[in-house]
Amino acid sequence: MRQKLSAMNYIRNNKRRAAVLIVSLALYLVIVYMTQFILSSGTESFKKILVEDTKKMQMVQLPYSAFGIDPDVLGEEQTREADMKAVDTLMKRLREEDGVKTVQKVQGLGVTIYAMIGQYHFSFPIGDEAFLKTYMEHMGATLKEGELPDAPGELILSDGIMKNSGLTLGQKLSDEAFQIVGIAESDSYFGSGIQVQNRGYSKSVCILSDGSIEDVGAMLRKMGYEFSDNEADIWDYQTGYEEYEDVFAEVETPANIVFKGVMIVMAIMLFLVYTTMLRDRHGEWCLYCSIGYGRKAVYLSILREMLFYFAVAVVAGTVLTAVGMVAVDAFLISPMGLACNYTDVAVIGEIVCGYAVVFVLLQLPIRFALQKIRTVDAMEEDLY
Amino acid sequence: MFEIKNITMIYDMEKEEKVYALGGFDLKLPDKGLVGIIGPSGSGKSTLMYCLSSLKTPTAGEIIYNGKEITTLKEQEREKLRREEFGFVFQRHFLVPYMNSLANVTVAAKGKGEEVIKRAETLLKSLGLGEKEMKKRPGKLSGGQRQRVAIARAMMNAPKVLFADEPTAALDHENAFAVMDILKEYAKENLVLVITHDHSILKDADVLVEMWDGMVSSVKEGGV
Repeated sequence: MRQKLSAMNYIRNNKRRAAVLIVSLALYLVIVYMTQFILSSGTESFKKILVEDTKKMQMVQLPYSAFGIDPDVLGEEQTREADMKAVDTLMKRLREEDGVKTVQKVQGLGVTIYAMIGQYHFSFPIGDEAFLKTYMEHMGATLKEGELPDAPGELILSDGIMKNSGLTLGQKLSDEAFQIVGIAESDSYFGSGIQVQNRGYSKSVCILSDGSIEDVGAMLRKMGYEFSDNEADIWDYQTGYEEYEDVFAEVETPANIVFKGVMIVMAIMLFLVYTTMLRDRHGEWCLYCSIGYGRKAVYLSILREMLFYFAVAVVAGTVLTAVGMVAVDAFLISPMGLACNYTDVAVIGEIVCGYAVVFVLLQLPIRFALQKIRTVDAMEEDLY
Repeated sequence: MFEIKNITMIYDMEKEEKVYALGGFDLKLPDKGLVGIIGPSGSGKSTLMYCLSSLKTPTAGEIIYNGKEITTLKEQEREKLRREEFGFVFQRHFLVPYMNSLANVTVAAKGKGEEVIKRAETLLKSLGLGEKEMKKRPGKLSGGQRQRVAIARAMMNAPKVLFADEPTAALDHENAFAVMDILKEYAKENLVLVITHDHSILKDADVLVEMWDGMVSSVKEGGV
């Protein structure tokens, strides 16, 4: 014997109203998740440069003071000579350190990666032909198109950098000394080439490591070099991760504003729409209670209706989001050579929490409506 | 089926001037048959019906239904009784505005599926509603049609007792008699309690209870 009130009766007969609720709930999921997805094109792309690559490759440039050189005393020529010697010594000592595979003096060439929101500027190392080969092998980059650089000024860049900067094979950079001769297949933003002479002496040192070196500054200090963080130019996991956190924080703030703003708007909208819907159903519930269905049965039917709205909204929202993500990736993110994150557990958690908040919030008008239910005898008395 | 002992219903208990809706009387109702309850407004007809149907609890007295005292039942037991044994036709039809006639009849049916729909269609047809009307929402029906849908809904679960408060109030005489014929037919196997001002529709009643000022003034076997 059926003792439940059907939840589908209302939905079947009030498709437009049900659709408003479902669309609102689904839109919340779509907007929040798509926002994170678009923002992830920045965080995920920069993560490759700042967090992943810096575990394999570090660059360091120490000030004169770290080598005990005083340019005011020695003069320009002697300072340069002393510095070159000191750098050579540094490289020699670094090669003896645990985790270090290769150490090479390099020049740095700057490149900017533009995300859909935000940008990041970094330098990749260019050295001699031997270093280029070692570096490519170390970073897991292979030649995809064109040829490997073998002359000064020739560069090989990964697909990601090429797409992001809108460069083509054979193109010369704004600094005309450099020309792209090869495209590399790489998971990251790989770039390198053969350094150009007569550009001053290179005192940047590139360390190719086994992934165990996270803090080059600490390692150098342990080796006896004294310098302040402001004087030295160090590119390693430690500094990269700090910068990544800064980038993440910059992205997180607008993301949070979007997440919370959408949730508040949705909650208010749903609250108003739902309260109106409930008001229209007062007579119906009074009837049910009069003919033997208690408030609990009415509440359970409302709850089933609501769970139906949420379930359909989640399915519809997920499908729309998936389609949206694939489309945005195909037409915007991939053509820009950017990376993105399809599954963000933290944002999924936020959405679940958002739904939970709305679900709890909607219990208020339901409770209020349930309290107002009276049986027909009480309603008839009001007529007199 | 119903045995009523010294039933009293007092409104405004907290006030000095208490209103006696039911003044303390005894009454016995049969297991089946058409029972008409007539009386002027304020005589306590509706209050009696609400007490019998467990919607209201009398201030004092006993209502014994099938050997069970129902005034002391817990709310859940009363709900079960109303759901499983009683059917209601209220003064106002209380149809659900967004459902069509057919859905309004099946809305609180015990079962579901084709059987329920067929029974609802049969009931509606027997009450004079055609296929077209069955698909219409209450807003598109006349007052009489709405009342007939409400009657069909009350009969949907084949209740042992059918309470009808002014079931023909919105109907013309022809339709009113047609409805009463259906109730009379239903009363052959069940108990049907009809409250009305209209004496003419109770000519075929098996028992006629007349009420006056919260008391039963007469109980007659046979119709008016």
